Amino acid sequence: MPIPTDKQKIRQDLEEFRRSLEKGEKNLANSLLSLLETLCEMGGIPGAMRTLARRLAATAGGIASGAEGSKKELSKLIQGLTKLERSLEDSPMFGDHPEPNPAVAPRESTPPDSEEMDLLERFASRQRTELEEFEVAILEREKGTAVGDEFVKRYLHTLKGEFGVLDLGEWSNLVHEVETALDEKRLGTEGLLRLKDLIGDRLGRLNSARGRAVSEEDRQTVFGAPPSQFPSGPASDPATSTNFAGDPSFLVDFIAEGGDHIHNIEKSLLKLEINPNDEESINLVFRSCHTLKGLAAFLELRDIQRLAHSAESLMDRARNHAIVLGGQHVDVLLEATDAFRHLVDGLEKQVTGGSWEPPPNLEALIDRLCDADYLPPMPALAPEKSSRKMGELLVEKGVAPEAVERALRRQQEGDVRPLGEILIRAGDANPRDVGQILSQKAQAAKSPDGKSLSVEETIRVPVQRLDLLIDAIGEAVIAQSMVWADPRLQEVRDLPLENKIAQATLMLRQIQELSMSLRMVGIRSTFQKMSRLVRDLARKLDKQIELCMEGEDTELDKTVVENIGDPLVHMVRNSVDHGIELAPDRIAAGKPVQGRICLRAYHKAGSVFIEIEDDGKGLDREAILRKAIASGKAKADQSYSDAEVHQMVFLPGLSTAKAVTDVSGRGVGMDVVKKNIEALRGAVEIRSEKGVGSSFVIRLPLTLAIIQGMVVRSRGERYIVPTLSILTTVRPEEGRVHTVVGKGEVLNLRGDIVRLVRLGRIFSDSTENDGSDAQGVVIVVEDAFGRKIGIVVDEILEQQQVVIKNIGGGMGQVPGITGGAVMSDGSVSLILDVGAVVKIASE
Amino acid sequence: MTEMVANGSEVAGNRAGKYLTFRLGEEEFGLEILKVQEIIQLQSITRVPRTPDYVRGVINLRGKVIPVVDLRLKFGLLRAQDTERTCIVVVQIRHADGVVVMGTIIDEVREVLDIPGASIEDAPSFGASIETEFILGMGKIGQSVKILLDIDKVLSGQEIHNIQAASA
Repeated sequence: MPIPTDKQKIRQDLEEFRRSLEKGEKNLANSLLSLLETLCEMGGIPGAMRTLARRLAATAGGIASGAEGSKKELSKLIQGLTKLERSLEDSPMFGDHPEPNPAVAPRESTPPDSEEMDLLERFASRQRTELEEFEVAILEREKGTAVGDEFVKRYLHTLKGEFGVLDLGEWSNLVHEVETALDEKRLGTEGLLRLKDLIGDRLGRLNSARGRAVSEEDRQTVFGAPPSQFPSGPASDPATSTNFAGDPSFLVDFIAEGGDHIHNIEKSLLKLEINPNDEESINLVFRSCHTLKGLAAFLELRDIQRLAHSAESLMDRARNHAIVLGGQHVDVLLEATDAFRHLVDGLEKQVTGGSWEPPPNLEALIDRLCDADYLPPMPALAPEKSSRKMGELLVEKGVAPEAVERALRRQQEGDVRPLGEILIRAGDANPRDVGQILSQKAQAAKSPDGKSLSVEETIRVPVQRLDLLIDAIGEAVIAQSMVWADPRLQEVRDLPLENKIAQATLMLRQIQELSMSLRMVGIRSTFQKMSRLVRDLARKLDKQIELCMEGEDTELDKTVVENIGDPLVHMVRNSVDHGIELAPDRIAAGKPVQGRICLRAYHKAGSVFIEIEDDGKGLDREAILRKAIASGKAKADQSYSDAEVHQMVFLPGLSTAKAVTDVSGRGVGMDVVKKNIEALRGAVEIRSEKGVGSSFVIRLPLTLAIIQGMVVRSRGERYIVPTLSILTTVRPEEGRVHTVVGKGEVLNLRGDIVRLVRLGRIFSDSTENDGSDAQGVVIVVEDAFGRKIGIVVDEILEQQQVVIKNIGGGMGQVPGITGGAVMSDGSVSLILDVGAVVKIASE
Repeated sequence: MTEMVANGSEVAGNRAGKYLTFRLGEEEFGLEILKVQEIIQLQSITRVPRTPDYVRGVINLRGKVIPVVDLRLKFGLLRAQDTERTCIVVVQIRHADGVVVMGTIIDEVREVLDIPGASIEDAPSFGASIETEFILGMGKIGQSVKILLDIDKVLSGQEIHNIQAASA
């Protein structure tokens, strides 16, 4: 058979071979082999295609010689051929520019040329969506559906081929291994998910040599530890088994990541305690245990690995519905969590060079985990039992009856806390027992087949596109109001027309409000980070602290949520570090040993409030004042209100002085906290009582995009003053404005002396008083430091909501101006930065 | 000498292309067409306080607020009365933070010219009195000479810092 040399012909021939192969005719395999071989040797074909052709030739050869005539091989060949045909079609006319040296052998290691880059890019962008589908299929497969299984297999197969075409041999091999492992049932959902993550992670870097390579570590990531290593693996000397001699950076990573997993496990276990059938939580615990196991195996941390393995096995049984997780399981698992934490902490200590003792009861714990499913199930509570009193149940649990009576008496005396809490606080009851009883009661109260809440469906949209939509809607609103304000329309007296326009206005406003809500996200994730922080810090400082969170679902603008994290961390850290006392001090002060920090978020009066409250020792007023006076921030002979003293914590000079933080225990970088919050157009306030506790209240705007503003006129220009910072506005009577040495002006405002600033003057280039600003309206504003100042403008025009716009890149920061707003006539008005205006005025 | 010529023609080769030409006072300028986003009518400009006087202020460009620079004042020419020919050329310039959209006020837009590399020469040195850094080259079109601007340099980098410094 003549060997064709032009691309079109080769493609046709390939297609023909494929057709016949699909029909099951294998006698053409030899001709196919020679065609493929020719293709391999032809000059000017992309390296990727050559590799694929070579691979196919090997398969075809196998089929031709009759050795590998299996159906699987055949279908592989057919798929490969399809791909080759496609890439032949896509590739530019090869042969037109022959390679300088066609004999040059495999091109695997050469960097991709631009054409291959293009292929890679297309591949990467396509894979991003396909990987998502892959993930869905993996999860579908986990449920045991045939569709999912089939999709996963097909996808892997295609992926292998595509990697081959792209000359990514190592990746292709990896996928092949995964395929095999999947067939042999050595790899499950976890491995597939990890493969998906790995590929997703690398997609963008496939063009670099590093991205092209699949390291041993990557392989480990996917396959986890070789399963033969446990459970009966060679448990090396238990005393040294947590020691680690390898690269400490891996360990540091493990400590961080492990901590996260432990945290997740604990959180989900607590959920499971309430609802043992929560599949999501079961899977989460399982997955986290599994990952821990894999990581520990990789780092040869045998204790953690064994513990994780036994916990995982238990969870696996729960997952397969072999057992139902009861309180006793959760108890053992929680103990395991503590042990994990202990082990991981131990690692941390080792890294930092400290000494550490392994948990004494590890072996017993592992045994118990393995036996956990044989534990006698918890005696099912008879229905009438659940309606029994909390106290009775507690006594059954071993709480002293006198203690319960004592607590009941306190309740009668007006203590509003629940019985369990009183008992726990008094140290008479164990929190775990109380938790169990509560969950039993909750279970009994629920209908037996109470379905879990339906999950809200969501679509992920790029933020940029969302912002474009919001911008466009903002524009539409402006355009609409320009129509509405058009004088010609004003003249028209036509009720039906006006109604129609009013209707359109209304709709548009609704759309605008809706569009604003699109950017709102819950603060939950930010809060959850704090619980980790509190736990870690408390542990480090040897304090017992309970963190309670309220209103995690409160929604805030995405940007606000992103930027509030750092200040919150700072303040929570302060509360833990300096607010909550050490246990002996707390006992001495008659407080419960366990300190309490509360994070609250809620909406009030068009703003969002976030509170951080602790029951620690509170701010030391005297110490702060002393320091402030010493550093010249306060006057010794002046009396200050508590609020004023508390605000001093935020003064920059004060906060960095170490002496103050030692004495008052507050204020490390509090000025930065305040600045950050103000950058979000928020404010922070402190309430504190010495010995009782402090609370920091952050007030934030609902959204950064819109503010309520007062439109004012000054020397022909319109400005917008944010209503939030306005205290009051007055039109001063004759004689109320006094000049100070002919330059400065003050206003006697109901006994308060307020400095006046003429906006026109500070914003104009000329400094002369042209007399035009003798009259005017005074807008009294308060800056971040509580300083009052009166801004004099010519007149107040109106109040309105405006959409804040950046005043253009390249303009930089203009002092006194925070941004611009497009007004209803289409022109731009500038929005005042009150704090900066005060600053300019005092220069 | 030959080397210099070769260099010159190479640079000139890069500079060849389409230019939007416009008038500023009595002088003719050219702007790389790829930098031009659009040309709009002069509209009401909101002055931004405490900025140099060549920053005329900000305008609303379909919902985006952009700064507008008066090129006359930027180049130290005398301020002129706005006429019905005065317009704003909106350009996209490269800035440290990425691409920035700005408006430039010019006296009159002329035409779009395709200037071959051979017709572009480096700006002669005027000594210290005139800064030529922002001049891409001089385009010879028939008898006239167009000053081809490197608008990135005119409006960005150092200059923007100056805007900030002046306003600080």
